[in-house]
Amino acid sequence: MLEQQPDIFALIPQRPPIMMIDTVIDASDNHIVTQLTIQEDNIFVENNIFHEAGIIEHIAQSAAAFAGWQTYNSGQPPRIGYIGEIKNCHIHALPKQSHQLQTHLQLMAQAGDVSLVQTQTTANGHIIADCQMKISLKAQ
Amino acid sequence: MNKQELIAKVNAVLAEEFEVDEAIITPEANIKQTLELDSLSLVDMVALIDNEFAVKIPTTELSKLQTFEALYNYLEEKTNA
Amino acid sequence: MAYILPSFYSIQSSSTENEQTVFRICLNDNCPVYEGHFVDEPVCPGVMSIQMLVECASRVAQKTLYIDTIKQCRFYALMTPKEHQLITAHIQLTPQDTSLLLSASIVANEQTLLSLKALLTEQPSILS
Repeated sequence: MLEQQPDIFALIPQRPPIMMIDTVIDASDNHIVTQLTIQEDNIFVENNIFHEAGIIEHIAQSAAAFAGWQTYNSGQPPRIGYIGEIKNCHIHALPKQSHQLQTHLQLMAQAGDVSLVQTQTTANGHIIADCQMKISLKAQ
Repeated sequence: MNKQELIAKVNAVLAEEFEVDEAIITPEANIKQTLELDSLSLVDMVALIDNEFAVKIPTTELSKLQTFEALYNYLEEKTNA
Repeated sequence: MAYILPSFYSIQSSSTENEQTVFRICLNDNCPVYEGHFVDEPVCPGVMSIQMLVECASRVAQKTLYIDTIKQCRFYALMTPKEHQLITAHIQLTPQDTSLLLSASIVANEQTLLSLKALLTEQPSILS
């Protein structure tokens, strides 16, 4: 666990209403652990349920936060990243408003500006999604 | 693993992953063109090499590995180190 | 049928031929999502493009469908509300054992921006 949680606004370029991470609780050169508590006004909540698109956006922003963490201490602003590919993304269950999501992201490989990551997401401790994703960072 | 075995394994795993005929993988052929890799699928190759040979190719080295021969030599060096 | 993202896009028309339905869609550059994605550089969030395709599939199936699995989704180029005001969504649904296989793509300016293969379900599990 990180002794001091980083400022999420310095880690990812996304802003409200589409910020889908609250905190980063652990991070290293090859992994990150992010959290999100689903609020009532979250744009992906409908009828109390947090939809699949929201889960996938939270996962994508966890990848963005991982990229941001690599340059966090350099003082540079976070680079914009785009989803290049999603593969084998299983949604096991949809969480509800007030549930806390946690995503463990592992870096599997990197080639230039493209990172391949494997993730697992829980909601209040229950596994709700597994996903493999490729993120391309925008050229600086 | 000797070099011949290494070459055979590299060709086999790449041909399977990228769905090409092993016969078109020749030492002097360009990797990206032969396997039809774009920037998104190049990372799949890096992941595959790591899984199969436990060798991580850093981005700085990746750009130097243009041909299959360069890849064979790189892996030979890293697996015998 | 309930849809989220009402302000992201609007369907202008649709037509079906040979088991494929094509939706002609207008993207809304005033959608509030662009305030945060990204500041001063509006880019369509990939997940919203995916959700838009799932909603089109729901219209074809005439029931609300949810994502069970994304087998593969490839983004070939950025989609932006300024550059891609008019797009087409191509939807093909094939029944499987307990789900529906969606093969879909988004095309604009004669370029494929996104291709999607996903399993959709009528009955998602909801965490209690």
